Amino acid sequence: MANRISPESPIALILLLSLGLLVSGLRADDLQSLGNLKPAVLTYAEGDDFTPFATATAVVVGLDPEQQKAAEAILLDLLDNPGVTQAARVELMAILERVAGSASVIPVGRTLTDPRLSHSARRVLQNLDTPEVDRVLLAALRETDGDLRLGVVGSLGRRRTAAAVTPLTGLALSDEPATARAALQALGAIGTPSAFVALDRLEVPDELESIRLDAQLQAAETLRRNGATTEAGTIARRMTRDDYPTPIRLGAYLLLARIESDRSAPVAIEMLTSGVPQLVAGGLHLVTEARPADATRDLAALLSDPDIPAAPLIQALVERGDIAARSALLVEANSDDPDVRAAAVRALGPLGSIDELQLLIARLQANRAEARAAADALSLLPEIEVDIELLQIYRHFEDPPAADLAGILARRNNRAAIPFMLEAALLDNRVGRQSIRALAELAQPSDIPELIALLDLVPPGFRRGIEQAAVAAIKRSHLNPPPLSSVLGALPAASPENRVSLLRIAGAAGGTEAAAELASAYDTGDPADRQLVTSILVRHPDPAYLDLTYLVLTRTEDPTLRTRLLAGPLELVHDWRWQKSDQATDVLTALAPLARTLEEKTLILEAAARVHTEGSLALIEAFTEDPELAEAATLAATELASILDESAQNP
Amino acid sequence: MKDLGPLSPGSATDSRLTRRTFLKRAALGAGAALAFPTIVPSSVFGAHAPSNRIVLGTIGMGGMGMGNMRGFLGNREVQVVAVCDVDRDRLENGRRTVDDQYGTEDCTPYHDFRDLIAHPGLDAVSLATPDHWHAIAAITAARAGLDIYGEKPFSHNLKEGRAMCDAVQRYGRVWQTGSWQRSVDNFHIACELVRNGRIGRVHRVEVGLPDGKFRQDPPLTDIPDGLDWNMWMGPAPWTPYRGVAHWDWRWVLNWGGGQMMDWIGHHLDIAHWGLGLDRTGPVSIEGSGDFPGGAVFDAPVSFNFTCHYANGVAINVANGSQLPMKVGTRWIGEDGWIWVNRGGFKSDPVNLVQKRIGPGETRLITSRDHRGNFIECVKNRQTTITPAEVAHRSASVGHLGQIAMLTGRRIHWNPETETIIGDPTASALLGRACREPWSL
Repeated sequence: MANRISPESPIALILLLSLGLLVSGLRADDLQSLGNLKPAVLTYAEGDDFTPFATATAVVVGLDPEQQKAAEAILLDLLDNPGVTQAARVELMAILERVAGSASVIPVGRTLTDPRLSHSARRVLQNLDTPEVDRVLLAALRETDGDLRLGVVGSLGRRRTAAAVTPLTGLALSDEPATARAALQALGAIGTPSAFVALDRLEVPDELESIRLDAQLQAAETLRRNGATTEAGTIARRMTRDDYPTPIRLGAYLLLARIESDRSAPVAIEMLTSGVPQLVAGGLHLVTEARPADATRDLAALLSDPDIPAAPLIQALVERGDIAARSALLVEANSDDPDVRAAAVRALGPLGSIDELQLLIARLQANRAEARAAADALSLLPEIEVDIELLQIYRHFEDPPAADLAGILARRNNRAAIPFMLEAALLDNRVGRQSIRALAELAQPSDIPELIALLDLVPPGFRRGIEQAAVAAIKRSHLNPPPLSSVLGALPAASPENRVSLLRIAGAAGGTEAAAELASAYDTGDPADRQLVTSILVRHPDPAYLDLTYLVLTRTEDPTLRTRLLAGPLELVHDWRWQKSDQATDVLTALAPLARTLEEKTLILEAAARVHTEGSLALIEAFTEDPELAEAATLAATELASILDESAQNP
Repeated sequence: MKDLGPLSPGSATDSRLTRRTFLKRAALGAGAALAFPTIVPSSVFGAHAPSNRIVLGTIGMGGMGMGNMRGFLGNREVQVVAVCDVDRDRLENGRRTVDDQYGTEDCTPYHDFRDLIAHPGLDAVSLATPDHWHAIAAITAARAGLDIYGEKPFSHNLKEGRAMCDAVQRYGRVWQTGSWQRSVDNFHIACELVRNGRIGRVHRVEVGLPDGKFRQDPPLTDIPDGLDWNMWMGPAPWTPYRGVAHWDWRWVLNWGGGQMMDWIGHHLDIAHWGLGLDRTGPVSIEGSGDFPGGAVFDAPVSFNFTCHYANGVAINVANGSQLPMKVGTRWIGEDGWIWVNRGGFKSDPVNLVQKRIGPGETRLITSRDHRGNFIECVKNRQTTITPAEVAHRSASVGHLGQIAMLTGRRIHWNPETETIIGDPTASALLGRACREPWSL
């Protein structure tokens, strides 16, 4: 059964009508139906029928404040009955949690000392916004011990009960480490000035000292959050002193940075120059957001400090995104440290200008890491003039740097470069090869005819690159079916070599037109054509290729190739198993009779087990007749039948 | 023995010894004879580092925990040294997986996450427990000075999420959430297109999540040998064992939040990212859902709620079968729409994806390796692609949607103070008391 938790819901309506209720208007009277729980709560034990509680849970949804009070009163009345079982009380309090108000505090508070009910009681009470809850929790603090008291301590901390400071201070000196620890943490969570002072004065055993200091830090943070920024700042500054443990100093510095949010850069600089690794790491974390905004030069100046790790600082400056770091980066671009040099060169992308163009182009010839950094930087340098300048250099096809620039222009999405790249593709050198790769990144559907024309012109080794660029251009259209007219239109007049390329392009693009062309090629019976079509089916599974794949499977003997052919449709089954489970079942049904070996049958069985349909179950059950698969199929059928049964019960 | 690159297992041990020496020296000036950790990834200090590997422990050896751990095991910059689970068999499986990878026998198994967090020399933890354990484990790890890779949804409830963010901020920790779609190209491209106005001003977003799941309540049964049921429940309400724990915990509100909370950290997170709303939240939320009335399984099987933001955008979150584009994120603007899902990208006009982002336009942080991004940030102390605050804000939408559905009322929300306005009963559902002896 499912309960539609909405007063407007048809399922809720049916549910409530079945109870003789109406959703609106009469709800206050209908709430009396909660009283119908009485017979159940007198006998309920874990594992019994849960329906009465589920029904009651649905009834308390969508109530207005008056109705909530009425529901609360009914539930409290039930709880007041001494005959109610403990298990039922847990469930009643779970419902009460949804409607509880101040009337619940005293009766529920009485159960805080009951080991079975204490947690349920705290669930009802902990988030109630009434001071009476603090009083009952404080009373329970005196009346409990062990785990129950730990729970109460935790709730007082979460509620930030100021009146709990004194008793918790006493508990912080308990001989029980768990109690002392919980009390210290609760004092930190309460975070009032008196809690902080109490924590400051407490003398605890060494093993709890870290907890005490941590609680103080948390208290200082709470003070800040509640507007006592001056006091919090004084405390945080004190806790940055080097006679405090480093983790506390780190936390204090980070708190100080939040308190002095408009002047956090000096805090970051203090941390970065502390010479303490943990604090330096924390300082790096602050650089990105540190204020004031014009502190970038001061932060970047730290790059000259040999005790500060330069590469992470450069990365932080990049994240900060202020070009004021540029001059410092230019210095580091000539650092003796290759890691720092590469980091600085890369940073000149987002933080540099066209003035760095020549430097970055020159670095394309440096070591691999630096060259990659320079390429990254050139891809990101802002300003349209950079595109114009790069294109001017590239169009001469002189290498270096033209080959590298082809890729960079592609990454910059510079489509003005496409005509020059088509021209460069004819060059039998690195510039030609890289330009064809760039075309795969940039070429548009409108470029397909020119790419096809290049098939006859490019060096033989570049043919595959052109094919890939054409496929990428077709797919970039995101049309279904893909725009293949220029490819298929070129087929009749194509040379044998070009025909293979065109079929490969169409095959990789997919769709019904490609499927028809591949089927036609396969029908020729030419072994080379059949091999080509088979390899396309293996490499590019496509829903439009299913029928052709089934056909090819019937005519293929090589077991390895057959397994690879099967993989395509099974991949589609996997993709379709949730949203298109009927289509997935159809594919499995078509494949099953084609399977020859145990391995093939097993692949289909495993795929079928993941498709939750009656058709798939029938398929698996058919496999139980196969002696080799009987055991696995029986197991799979049992599992799937169970899943389908559960789904049938799931509305 | 597998090739581990520059650091063989033997030298890794050596490097840890060196690390301890290094850290001891670092701690001396701080007068840290106390029980504080003195962790800082030494790789921050580049060439001066005693070790360049991030030493990692993993908590939770279920599906996501093992998946994440295998990912980290494949990263040469990471050394996994300890694993933790309250199920003996899963723990052993995790330990064996680590030792098999490294060809060693020195991965330390822990039953209690607090012991793992205290493991000497740890830099970071990978956290993949059921949701109800996220907050306590994460806060404990942050307090111990560890960086955290944490699974989504970020938190079990909203107040726990805020406490986690505060702890991460207080202790200056690096946090990465397992919202890995941010590190996948098509999501990144879609968000950049939206952010740069390719579909004009966005007025509505549809976030489709997988349909919920439900099972009939199983009968009470014996706790299996090797499973510490009390520890498994931890801060959640005590409940008798019915054979529901691993995996199926997600459909139980005491422990998880159903498909809705499982996926909100993906597609809603992406919606937020594209809109630049990932550090704030809605101002009102209303909707309805179908909640199974079981003793155990009670997470919503279907849900449909709408969040209104201060800038006028409305985000509709629903299980996919209630939305035209099913599962995924669709931003609808004045000039068109963009829909993105795993492996899918559609738009109107269809050629929007060709309008790539050029220099000078808004660029979103780029990552192509989500776990790698975490490790990189552990080393350079920068913010990850899905930091705690961002993850908290996407999870918050789910928590608020849940409250709106459970109360049957429109919720008015102040995203600055993170308080519900004028509805004490709904406010009480923002958090819950931990079962003793646990507390945040």
